[in-house]
Amino acid sequence: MTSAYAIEVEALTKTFGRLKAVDGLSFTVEYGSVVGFIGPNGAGKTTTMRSLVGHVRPDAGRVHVAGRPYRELADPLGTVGAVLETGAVHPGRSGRNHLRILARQAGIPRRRVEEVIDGVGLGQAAARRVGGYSLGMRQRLALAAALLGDPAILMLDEPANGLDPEGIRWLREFLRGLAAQGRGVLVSSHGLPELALMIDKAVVVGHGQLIAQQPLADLRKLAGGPTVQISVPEPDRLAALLREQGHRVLECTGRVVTVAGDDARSVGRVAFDHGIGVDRLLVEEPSLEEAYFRLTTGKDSIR
Amino acid sequence: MSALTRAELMKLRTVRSTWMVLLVLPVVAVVSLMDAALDPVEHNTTVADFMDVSLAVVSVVVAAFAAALVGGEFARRTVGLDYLAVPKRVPVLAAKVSAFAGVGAVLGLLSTLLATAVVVPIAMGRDVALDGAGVAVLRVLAVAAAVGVLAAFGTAIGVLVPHPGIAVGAVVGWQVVEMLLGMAFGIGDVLPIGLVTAVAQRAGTAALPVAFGLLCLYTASVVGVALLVARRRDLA
Repeated sequence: MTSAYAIEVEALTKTFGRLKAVDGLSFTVEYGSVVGFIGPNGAGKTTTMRSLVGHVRPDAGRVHVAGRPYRELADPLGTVGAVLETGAVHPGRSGRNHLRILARQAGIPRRRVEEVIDGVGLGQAAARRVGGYSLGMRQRLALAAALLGDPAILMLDEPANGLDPEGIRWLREFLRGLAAQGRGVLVSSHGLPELALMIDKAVVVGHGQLIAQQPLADLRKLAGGPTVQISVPEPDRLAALLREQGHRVLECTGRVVTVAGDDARSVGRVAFDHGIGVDRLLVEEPSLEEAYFRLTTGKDSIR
Repeated sequence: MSALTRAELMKLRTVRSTWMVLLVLPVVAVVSLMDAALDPVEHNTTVADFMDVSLAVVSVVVAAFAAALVGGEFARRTVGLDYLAVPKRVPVLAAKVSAFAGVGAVLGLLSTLLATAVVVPIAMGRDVALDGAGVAVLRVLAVAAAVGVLAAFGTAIGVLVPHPGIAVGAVVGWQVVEMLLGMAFGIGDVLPIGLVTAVAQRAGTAALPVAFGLLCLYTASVVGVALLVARRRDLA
């Protein structure tokens, strides 16, 4: 490893015609972590990833992987594995031959092809033409290609697309395993609940600009922190009592009163002391999805 | 041969379209020789004259084949994987050019051998003078090399026109333009596709290296432009 960071993006700017796809974006990905790259369609995620591997030339800014521009890496596939487009495979070629060609280009031994085929669970399908693959199998093939050089850095654009629940679970454990080995992983996905289970940090972008770069726990705090939800037959009365006792009541909908904070014992005590029966009492942690929507409200899709 | 060129050859080997062309091209080459049996024979008619239509058709098919496959790589964005393995684009594209040139030369060799085998008996039957063995061998080799160069030309068209259908259209359109220019100004023999026929007709003469050199010059120019364009093109 030649840099403290697996990926460094600094003031990246890229314009296509009149569309500013990325606008002064900066963030980092550390080794040993899985970083979620989140944003609405057209937020600039794919352009950023393509800039990182030299497919797109930035107008301004710096994009480094393992401490240097991708074009200057001595062993590109041994440094970075990227899944940018699962459809970028000749449909008439077998999965195995697709990987063998890539291995030959990169000077990777042929036996490694069989290792990654087994590693992603492609098995006997590797001998079949890619045109007959399901989307999930194509994702596995793309992942196999990314892993071919046994890279220390992985960049995956929507890797869960087309995977069934079992495949998503497999991907989650797989990526966590890679991070545990000290690899840096940048993964974009629209499946926020799944993403929340695999990432350590999130980089949230909108309109090509950085909105937040936070550890997952801090990001949840940005969404307002935990809340106590109490379901009672007299919600308006309880809400008033809670306010009197200094609690911050966020909303009162139907039979449910939502109170800021995680002090469920104190909220339950107010209901008990005033003879209000409690149907349900729970502490809710804000989800990544809630945090995301709170951060990106108004930053709608531009593409 | 570099690992990149070997990888490009493996790409060609592992798709059916290559084998289809390999099967279809000899048939096309032979069918295009029909005019040999029908053309009027004059006192200066040569074996090469019987082969000109066939060679032109073979040249266009090979160039279009290269343009379609390379244009398809850009359209499907599979070229992005090449750039992931080797980020410097010029070696990647140079490997494509050399691989297609090699395959084109082999296809040209097979087609010309077959055409010669068909034309010689026809020529004998129509009292057309046969070439010496040396000239015949030189013609076969020169045409094979010329078809290889034209395949490189087609590869460059595929890089410049990143869509298989449009790339094929560009090659066919190019030939039509050549034909029109040839009919209007009589310069067909000095334009790229016409030069393959010119190479065949000038085998054994001092004009052969000139015709071949001119074809190489055209191809080098188009390949040079293609490399410049592809170096700067975003794969967005």
